[in-house]
This record gives sequence, structure tokens and C-alpha cells, in this order.
Amino acid sequence: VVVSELLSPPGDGKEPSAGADPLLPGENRRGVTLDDAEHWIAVYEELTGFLTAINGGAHVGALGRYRRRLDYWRGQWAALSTCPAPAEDTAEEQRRG
Amino acid sequence: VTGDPRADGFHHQALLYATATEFVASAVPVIEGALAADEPVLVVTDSVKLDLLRDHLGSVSSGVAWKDMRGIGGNPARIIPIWRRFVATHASRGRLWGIGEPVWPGRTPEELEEAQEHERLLNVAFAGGPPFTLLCPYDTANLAPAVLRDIVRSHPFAPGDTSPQQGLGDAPFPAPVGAPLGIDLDGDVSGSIRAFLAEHAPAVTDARAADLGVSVVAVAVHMGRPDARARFRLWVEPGGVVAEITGLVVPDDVLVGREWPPAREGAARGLWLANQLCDLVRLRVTPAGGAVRLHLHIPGSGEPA
Repeated sequence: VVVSELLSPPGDGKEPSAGADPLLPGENRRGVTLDDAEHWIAVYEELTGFLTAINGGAHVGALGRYRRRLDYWRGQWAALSTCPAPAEDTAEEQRRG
Repeated sequence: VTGDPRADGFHHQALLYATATEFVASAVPVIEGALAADEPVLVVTDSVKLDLLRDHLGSVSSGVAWKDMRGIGGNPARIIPIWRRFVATHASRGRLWGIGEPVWPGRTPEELEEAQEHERLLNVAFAGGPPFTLLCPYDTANLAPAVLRDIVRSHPFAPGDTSPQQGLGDAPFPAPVGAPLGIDLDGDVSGSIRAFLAEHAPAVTDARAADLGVSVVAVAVHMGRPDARARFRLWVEPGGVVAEITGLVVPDDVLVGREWPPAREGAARGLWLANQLCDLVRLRVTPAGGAVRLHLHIPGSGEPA
């Protein structure tokens, strides 16, 4: 059982709010670990921090997407911190926009 | 595999295999030995080999960390930060063990060039660090002879010619394919990219076009020269899109953009951001200044750019 399945049980028809957003290269939706969550939190914090620092109004769409993915990974991290993490990380269901 | 994998410091070896059976026969004893000694192991290869190893290891596989190289390592510049995190997290637990396969059949020539550069940079990145043995599998049945010959130049414990090889840093980029479009970096970079791709590469989504726009701006902001304006041009190649920024400042650091944690300022930060967003990032230094090429794959196309 992978943790993401615990967070979004099959068949419930719902995904986290960032579930429909395209993923970055190497980013996975399933089989993630606490280490993955920490990695992607750092990536999205850097991206949102950069766009905020340059006041990048021309990149408002990207900034919104990065913020949603940051929130998603923070939620994953919180969930993984309180339940056993699987030691796996596959690229299944990897989907890039 | 040669050399003493338990020697002090960083031990970077090639693991040659021609079949899946050979790969498993070489890798499993290494992993089992590390686990028996309670030493951390991270395996980064394709999902097929990850499953093969997990099947052979059985229940002890839960003691191993796994990552799919085809995702995170598509851009080779993202790999060293993965190993850095692994080393930083487990450095107090004795010898660390890694199996990482950054070079695989089917990579484009540009990706192979950067993956081989990555292999050389590993020796710089982990020199003088804690005991860390990294084994790099190479598919001898399907990789080109020229690729296999390069192994001995990046792996200090491979047999043969171990003379240092010049890095890619000052080798010029080839000329662009087709007619590049010049774009003003002071204008609406993302809008210009979207408009160009809508016409020339419509399979690239707005989200990926926006990622490319952010990457271009990150590089230009953090690597631009104070006394001269950087130049940006964009074109489509078979399988992908290439954005080139020239006239940049590049620090004298071969690991620039591959740090973990990411740098807070300067070129290292700009390149790090671009590395997270793009499918491939290439850096060169010429007499006219630094040049960066950012590549995006075109979904559904054949060979990626």
C-alpha cells in the first residue's frame, strides 16, 4: 500500500486541490516518501520565492500552479510524517503538462 | 567492478552488465552486504530494474531507498543533488552505498554528453566526503562503444585509460537548427514563448511553456552581466524546443546549479531553478561569455531535444 493511496482512496473521485496540475520532470503522484515530499517542498518553495521576489506578474499562472503544488506536498509531508512511508518511488502516473 | 569498494572516501565504480540477469547478480550482493552491515543504500535506476531488484531482495527490500532515474535524472544536472541529500541525511551511519544509472540506451546525444559530464562531476562533488561507494550500471549490450569507452575517464576505479578528460565547459554549442527567433528579455518573455510555440510546437502545453519562461527569466536575472544585456533566442528542433541565453556571467565552479541545498543568490540559483523546470540544461563558457541552453521535450514527438 502506498501512502498516496491512503490519502486518496481509489474510487473516491477526488484528488487534492493540486491534483489536476501538470507535474514537473521527475515529480510523481504515487509511491512517494517523506524524502520526496521534502524534496518537492524545497523545489516549490524556491520557485514561488523566486517569482515573488521578482514580482513576476507576467508569470501569475505559473506562480499559482507552483503554490498549489507546494501546498499539496506540504499536505503529503504532514500525512507521511504520521504514518509509515513506503520505501519506493516509481514514475507511475507521471504526467507532465 | 574493480577496486576496493570499502576504501575510505568516495569510491566511484562502473558496474558493467549485458543482461538483466547480470545486473541483478552484480547488484543484489552489494545491497545485501550493505543491509547486513546496517549501512544505507539508495538505488536510482529505471522502474524495471527497481522491480527486478525488489523481487530478488524480497522483504529486505524495505530497507533500501529507491528512486526512478528516468524521471528525476532525465536532466542529469538534477542527480547530484539527490546523492547530496542522501549523503547529508545518512553520513553518520558508516559507509553509504549507491547504485545509480544515469547513462542508458535511448538517451539523445545531448543528454548522453551531459550524463557523461555528470559522471565526471560526481568525482568532484564527493571528493573528501564521508565513505560513499557509488556503482554506476552500464548496459554494455545496448550502449554505443564510444559511450562505453568514456566510462574509464569518469570512473577512477575502472580498468584502462584513466587520464583526465576535458570537461564540456568550453566546448562550443553546435549551431541552432532552423531559424531561431530572437526575443527581447525586457519584454513579455513568457507571452513571446507561448506565441512562438503555439505556431511551431503546439503540442507543448501552456504550463510547460510557462515553465520555460520562468527558467529563461531565472537564468537572465541571476546570470546577467551588469554591463551588457543578455540575448535570448528560441527555436524548435526534432523532438523538442531549445531556448538559448547568451552573454552571461558564469562562476568558476563546475558544480554550479547542482548544489543541495540550493544556492540563495547568483548564477547557481538561476541554473538550479532552470534545472528543476527543464528536461535538459546545458552550460558553456565562450570568450563572449556564458551560454545556457534550456531544452523542453515536445510530447508525442520522437527523439527529444
